[in-house]
Amino acid sequence: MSERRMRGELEASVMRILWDSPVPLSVRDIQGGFGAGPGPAVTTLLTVLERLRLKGQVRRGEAVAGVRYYSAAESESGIVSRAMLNALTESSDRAAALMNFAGDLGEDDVDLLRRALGRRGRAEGNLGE
Amino acid sequence: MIGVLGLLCYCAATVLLAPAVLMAGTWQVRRPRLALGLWHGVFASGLVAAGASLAWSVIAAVRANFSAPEAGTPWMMPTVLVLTGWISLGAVGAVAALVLQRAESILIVDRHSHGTVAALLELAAVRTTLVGRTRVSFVGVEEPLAFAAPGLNTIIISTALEEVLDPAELRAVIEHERTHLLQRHGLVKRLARLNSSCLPGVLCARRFERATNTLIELIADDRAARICGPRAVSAALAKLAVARERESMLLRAERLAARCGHDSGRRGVAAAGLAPRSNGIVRTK
Repeated sequence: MSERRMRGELEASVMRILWDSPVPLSVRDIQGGFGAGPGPAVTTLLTVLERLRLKGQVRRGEAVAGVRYYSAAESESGIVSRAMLNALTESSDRAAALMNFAGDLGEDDVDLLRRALGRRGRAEGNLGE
Repeated sequence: MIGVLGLLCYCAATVLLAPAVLMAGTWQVRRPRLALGLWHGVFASGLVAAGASLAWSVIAAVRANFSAPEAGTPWMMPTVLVLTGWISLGAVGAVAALVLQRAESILIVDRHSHGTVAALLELAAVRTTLVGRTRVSFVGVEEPLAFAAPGLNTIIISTALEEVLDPAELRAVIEHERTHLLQRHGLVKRLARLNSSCLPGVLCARRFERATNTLIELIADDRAARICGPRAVSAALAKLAVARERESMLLRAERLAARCGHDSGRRGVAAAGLAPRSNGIVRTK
């Protein structure tokens, strides 16, 4: 198994444990969430949590009696919803099946609107005018 | 033969000249319905002319084939007619196969998209309401967006957008999307997409698709403005233009603001409390 895949699976497992918990968890709690047998080392979990925090998926609480508690920054359904929306709005093929309020206007169309509004060019498309 | 050539010339004219005529000036922005009607009228007439020329050449070939030969009759013309007829039949078959194959791929992608939307609704819909006969579903998503899924006859609004807009602006967005559903813009857009995918690299086909996509947005803006007032539509567009960093939306807002003689497009931007970008240019995605 590649190192990248192992890392991805470990991140997914940590997220699963955090989502399943109604309260924030310490690193030891998360390690216990891996069930019977030796779970990942605490240092490994800290690395994974830091990576997830930098991705914005995990929130780190203030230390209480020297122990930090972690919680998921977003619900599982929120993340899945966002992934679905990205799939819908970022693929031009898929987006074409929908009618987006933001529209699907290309640079030529923007130019046409600029001309119709009496604008001369891109530099005049100023929000602060 | 002259008739067939005349029809083919008309087809060529629709491909080569129509875009130049239809894209001249800026009248399309003021009369988007007329522009869309003309684009699709020219497209339909070009298709009819192509079909008629093919049918004509096949009929001429059949007649030439069945006419009794007489001694001394020139053989050249009947041979050309029969050959043209066969070539036409071959062309009909090839075009039909191409259109069916491209239509199938478009339908598959559309089905996937609507499947994803249905899954999204199941997962994240926080409430659903009816506006007329249209279902409006609000989904708990942190990005401000609104879109209509024609295959599901549903409008999807994110809760983030609901927070950004006031009730009148939200209603304007819903009416904009309802226009797409009521006037079957999904079908119109799909037709232009099919034409473009059957003629890859053909500038005219690309322009036809782009014009269709733009004009249906302007038509929906106009209908929403008639129902909810230009100010509400303009303000909604301006707020979303800032949130999504889209100059095209800001220009659409200003188009409506200019029509009703106020400047709510820019005021909407100001109301959103956003300073202009350092270079003063709205970035388009």
